[in-house]
Amino acid sequence: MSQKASAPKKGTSTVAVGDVITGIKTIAECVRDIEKERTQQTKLREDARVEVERIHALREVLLDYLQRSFDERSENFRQLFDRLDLAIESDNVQLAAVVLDSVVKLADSSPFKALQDVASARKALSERGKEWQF
Amino acid sequence: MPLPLIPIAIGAAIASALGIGAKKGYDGVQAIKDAKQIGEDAERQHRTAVQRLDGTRERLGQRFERYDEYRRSVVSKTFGRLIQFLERLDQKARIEAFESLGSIGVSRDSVRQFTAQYIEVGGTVSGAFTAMLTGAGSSALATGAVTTFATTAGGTAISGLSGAALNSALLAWLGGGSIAAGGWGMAAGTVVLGGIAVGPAVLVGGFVLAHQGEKAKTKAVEYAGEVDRKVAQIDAAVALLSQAECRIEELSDVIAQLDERATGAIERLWSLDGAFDFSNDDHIRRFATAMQLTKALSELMRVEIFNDEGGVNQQTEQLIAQQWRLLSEIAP
Repeated sequence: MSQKASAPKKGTSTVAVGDVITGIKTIAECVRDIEKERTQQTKLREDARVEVERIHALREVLLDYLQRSFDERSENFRQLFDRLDLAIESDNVQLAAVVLDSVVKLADSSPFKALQDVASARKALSERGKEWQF
Repeated sequence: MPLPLIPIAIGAAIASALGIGAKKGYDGVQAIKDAKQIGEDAERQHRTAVQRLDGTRERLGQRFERYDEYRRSVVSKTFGRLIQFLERLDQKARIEAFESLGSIGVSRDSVRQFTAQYIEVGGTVSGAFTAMLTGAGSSALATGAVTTFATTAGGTAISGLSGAALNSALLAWLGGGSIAAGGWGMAAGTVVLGGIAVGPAVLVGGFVLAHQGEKAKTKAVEYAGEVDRKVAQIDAAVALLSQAECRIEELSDVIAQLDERATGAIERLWSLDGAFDFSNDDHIRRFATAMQLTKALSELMRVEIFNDEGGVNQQTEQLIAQQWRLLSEIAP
């Protein structure tokens, strides 16, 4: 009788141990998954931060370049108008025509043209195996 | 002796597992809440950034409209004044005036162009004057293939653009025309502006419904990161649009400076009203200066704020360089 009673008890104990082990395994996996997710979150945050910083830096470079370009153009316009005034005052029609042509062409040129020139030069310089002739 | 410890160890393990499980369960619920919060904050941030972009674009559009009005007022007033002077010349003087155009570096096409611009802003010219310009009927002037004002992708159009169209216009403005050449302007523009106003791909509901605690939070963090990038791009677009405003200011200023000189030159011409004589060198010079300044103004009216190329072509660049050399030789 006591043996009968102890048999199922032994069986229950075996099942319980198995369940506990499975449970512990599941929890361990869960903990590992959570850690994995958290590591992934940290990586995603860092990737986004780096990318945002890169966009900001590029924006600053562009803006700085454009601002300097506008300043330079402003100075060029000022010099052209000084020359134009001299041409008008001295009734130098030919000089006035040349200066006016320059004013129009400078106004027509995009302040962003220089950016492309810089890029082309940079791209050409970075090309491997390119032979340079001076 | 170790046997009685087994139930205790099992009990401890169960208790510990239950504890960890409960804690993780709580963390999971909390993570979903966090995920939702992160997603909603990111959405709000993106919405605000898009509003900032829309506001900037609208302001730029308004600025362009003011610039356009200003351009038209200059055409109406200054060009009108010169055309009226030409119309008042008697037949003989007018013929001489048009014959002298070549020698003063102003082509008949240039006069035709600024007259067409004057007509476009509501000015009227006599049939005789028009006939002299076109060498045909008066209708030829208005319907001629004369490009009067720059309208392609101008600020007015920009204000009505959104999403990909705005992006492409901005890229064009940044030198998008040089895609084939792979210019840095284009590359930088793409990096900065790539898909600015397009919302992030994943919606908050998508990852919250996953109901997997930390996984939902990872999705939320990914989403927030995407939003951060979009917002950085939008802010870059906002900053670059402000540079477009600088370009409008620059052109307005150049037009104002030329207009001031053109007005002075035309008034000097008008001071000869009734006494204008083509055999007088001083009169010819006054006429030449007024015509050249008006021609230059007319060409400035055609300068585009946003163009397809983002710059002038190489040949024109060479011309500019040549002129600079010539100027430095001539100028004191």
